[in-house]
Amino acid sequence: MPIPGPSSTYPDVQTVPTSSPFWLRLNGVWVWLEGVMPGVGVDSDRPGSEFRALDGRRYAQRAAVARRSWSLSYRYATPAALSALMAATESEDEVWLSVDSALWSNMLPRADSAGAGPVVDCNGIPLRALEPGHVVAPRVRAGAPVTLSAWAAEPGEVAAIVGGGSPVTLTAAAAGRVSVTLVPVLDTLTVTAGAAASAGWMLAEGSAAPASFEYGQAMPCPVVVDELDETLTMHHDGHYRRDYTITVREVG
Amino acid sequence: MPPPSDWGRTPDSYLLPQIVLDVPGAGWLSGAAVGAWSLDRELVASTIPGNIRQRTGLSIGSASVTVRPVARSTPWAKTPARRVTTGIPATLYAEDSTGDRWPLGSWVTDETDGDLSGEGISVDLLEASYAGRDVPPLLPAYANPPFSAGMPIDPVWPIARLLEQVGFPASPRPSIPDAVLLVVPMDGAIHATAQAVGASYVIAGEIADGWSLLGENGLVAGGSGSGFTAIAGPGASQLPIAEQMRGGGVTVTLEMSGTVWLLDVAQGWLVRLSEDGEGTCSVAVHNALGSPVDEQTFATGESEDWPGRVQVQIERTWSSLGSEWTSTRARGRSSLTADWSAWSEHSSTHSPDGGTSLEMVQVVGGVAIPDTAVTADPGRFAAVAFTRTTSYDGLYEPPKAVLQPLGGDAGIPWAPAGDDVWQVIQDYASANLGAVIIGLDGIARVLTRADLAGATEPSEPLGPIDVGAEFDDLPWAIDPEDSADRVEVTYTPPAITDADVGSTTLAPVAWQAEEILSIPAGETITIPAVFEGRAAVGIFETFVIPGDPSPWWSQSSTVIAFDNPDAVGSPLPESALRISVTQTSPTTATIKVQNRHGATVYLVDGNGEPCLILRARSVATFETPQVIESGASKEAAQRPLEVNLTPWVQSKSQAQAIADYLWGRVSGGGAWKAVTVRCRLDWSLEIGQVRPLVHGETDLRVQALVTKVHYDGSPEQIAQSLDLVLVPWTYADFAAIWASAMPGATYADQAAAQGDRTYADFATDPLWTGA
Repeated sequence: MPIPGPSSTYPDVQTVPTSSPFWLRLNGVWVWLEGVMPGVGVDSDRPGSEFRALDGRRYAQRAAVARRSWSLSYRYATPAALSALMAATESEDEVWLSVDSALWSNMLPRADSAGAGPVVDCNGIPLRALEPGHVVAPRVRAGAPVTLSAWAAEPGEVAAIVGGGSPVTLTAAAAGRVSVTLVPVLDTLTVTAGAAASAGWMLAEGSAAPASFEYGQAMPCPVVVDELDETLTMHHDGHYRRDYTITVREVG
Repeated sequence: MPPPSDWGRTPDSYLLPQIVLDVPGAGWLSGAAVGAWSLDRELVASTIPGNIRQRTGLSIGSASVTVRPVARSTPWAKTPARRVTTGIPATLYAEDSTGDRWPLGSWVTDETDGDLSGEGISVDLLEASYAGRDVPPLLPAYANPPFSAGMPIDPVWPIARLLEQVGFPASPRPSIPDAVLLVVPMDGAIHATAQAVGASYVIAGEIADGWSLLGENGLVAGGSGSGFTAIAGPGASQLPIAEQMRGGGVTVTLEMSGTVWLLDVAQGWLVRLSEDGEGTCSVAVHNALGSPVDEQTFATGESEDWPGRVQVQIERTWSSLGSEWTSTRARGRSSLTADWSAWSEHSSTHSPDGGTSLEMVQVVGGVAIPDTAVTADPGRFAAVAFTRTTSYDGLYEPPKAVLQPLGGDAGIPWAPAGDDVWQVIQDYASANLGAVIIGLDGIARVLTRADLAGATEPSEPLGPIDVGAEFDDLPWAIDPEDSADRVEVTYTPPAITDADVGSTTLAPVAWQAEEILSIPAGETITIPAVFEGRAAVGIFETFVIPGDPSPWWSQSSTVIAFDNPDAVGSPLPESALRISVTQTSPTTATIKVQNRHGATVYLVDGNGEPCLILRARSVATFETPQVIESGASKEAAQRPLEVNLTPWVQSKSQAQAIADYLWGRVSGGGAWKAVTVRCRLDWSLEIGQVRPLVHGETDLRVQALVTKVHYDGSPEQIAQSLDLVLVPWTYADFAAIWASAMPGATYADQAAAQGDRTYADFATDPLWTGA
């Protein structure tokens, strides 16, 4: 039997990318993951346990942090997206994932939006103020403008920000919402809470603060990219297409 | 740093803290986050078999943690910082999201293992205080008085001294050595410490009734109004001057004073700190002749900002030339908000290098030490310090031991050579049915047998545990091994031989060489002398060759040397040898012999026997054991219990008290225990605690001694389980509570106050003490 030759002269990856909100930071460079299928499932896992006492009372223990997993699917994967993902599976350097929706709402870790101080009204949501001196080091995308906003309970310095070129101070002239926009020069900012009590901290890409408070999404975040699951599909004219499923897990 | 007070019983829903292994200076193990971990702390029975009513003796903790390694953290890693090593000091703690930490003990890394495919390295940990130790115990051996004087010493005294030796002082240690003149702890039998400050300072004290002080050379003072003075001269960095041995039961007043000789001091503060005491202090500048000038008094007392402390400010005014001062003045106050006293001022003109032109400033004050101070918390002490800054908060490192008398008389301090110091500490504690436990906070605590039986009220009651709400079950067991029908307690009183001072009778032998020692010309040999089965005090440091009978050589140590091993010819003169001896404990000494003869010297007498004999003013041996029996006869006993307290207990009264207590515990047969009780996580649960257990459904109301705390941790949970010994109440406890509630009361008083309450009432409400 003769050895079959190439069954198709068509490329087996999609050449016209679809829209996608996902980005990977590989070796210090942000790469757009084009072609991800809509309907990405995000699982959040927080280890925990419960203890039941003799009389039936329940006591719950939970880990201090939760970690997420994203299941990305491709019907048609572009060479660029595939290459980025495969490079990520091989990378020994830290790989970051970014999702546009989180960048536009609140990039801070959840625990850094509020603290244990006095209660501050954040547009109808009562949150406790961060302790003065509390330090947050959110990951950002260098060059993309970000806006830090907060609800201050009193006038004064709300936060000091390092990482946007010159140090920037977020100051409240009176109680209420305050914000400041800057362009990060590094992929990490350092934000230190000032003396004025504040809560409802938000960091979002863009030059305006989101209208209402949303808890931090911790994005970008470090991830590990699992091996790609591949499905080969043969078309009626002998062409092949490859579909992929990839799981990206948050680490750290 | 003490643990945060809000880390007790955890809330219903609880965010798990991160467990951290910190191995300072060990690269990737510095502050390493821990994955799976386990930790055990157990009170191990020693004197009493099984778990009868209480456990005594030591606790040696163990732990194991799994940490995430950096790449190639293997034994063969080429980067030293990444190598996995054992025997490194480490601490373990839990840290919550706010950064608060709960200590989980000090450890030493032990066996470490991992593999190439797994993600974690497992590190076993040994409790640091015990890991790999073999430290000789160094109990002080005083030259005076002889054993026969019978000065009573509470068994906590040797424990206190040995704890201090291994880094657990009960009195605060000066962290600025030059600043502290005198520290007198108030929590039992520990020694005071004096420091040399500058060129010359004088510390004087007055001993009140009920106290006795021992100095380096024995008894310094005792009885009401006895005074003592110690001078810390140039070059002396730390001079122990006083040892207090007190059994408790009386209220005493310790008068303390501190005196500063001013040399080149332009200004400074002399501070008296204490946790107790109200009264009057005085401050006075003395002239160069030592006479007080213009003495000023001021009241001490409680103040919120400055409790129990006084401050004396010292100033000198200088001439316009700056090379001489024109006046010295001092004033005092007892609070930051209190008014200063008037200045005590002395005007004179002196050059700083004037030599004899000195003034001194003295502060004098009384410190009342009530009975409760004997069981005081760490930090109860009185001190006199001198500092050139107004801040003295950092003058002391916090004490690391909490002591309390174990009761009775320890007899002759005893520390067998060859035993580790911790072994001796635990032997003393367990022989007296107590325990010495190092808490996770790093504080060593002495617990008495009454503490372990729940017969004393803790200073901070921890409250009852509701079994239904806190435990998953209470599995109980009654083990026949936990009871006995006969108790046999053996103790050995010392046979004391004192030197007959002034007579020609040879002083008793503490140690003698068992073989002929040879010393090459010009060389020095060091001999570790271990007094087998005996203790000595007042070693005679002078070695002489015996001659005609005389008090001089009878009360000296003995040496005879020849230039040949067969003792042919005449003995060498004393000048052929230079011998020094240092007593390191009541049972050990170090002897150094230097050969100053031109040829090899042999220490041998005229009969060819070895001859290097260490004599002492007083020697005790333990050769005649005594037995106290309780319960059934030897022949009829089914479950006899034999306990040997030699040599930790030396008096009949002490042994009898222990035998009675033991018999009360083991003869009832009703003790029971609960093992591996899973409980709601409560960080404050600790071995040695006695907690009331209550359970409404089963009518349970009992005291429980926590004998083991076990943690099993992972990212999902921290599971805690306990071993408990349930301590039913006996009439002895009943009587003890009454004695405590009504000191001095007769049985008739107690019966009258008791009213219609019966023993059964105490069994259900054992902490009830009111009438």
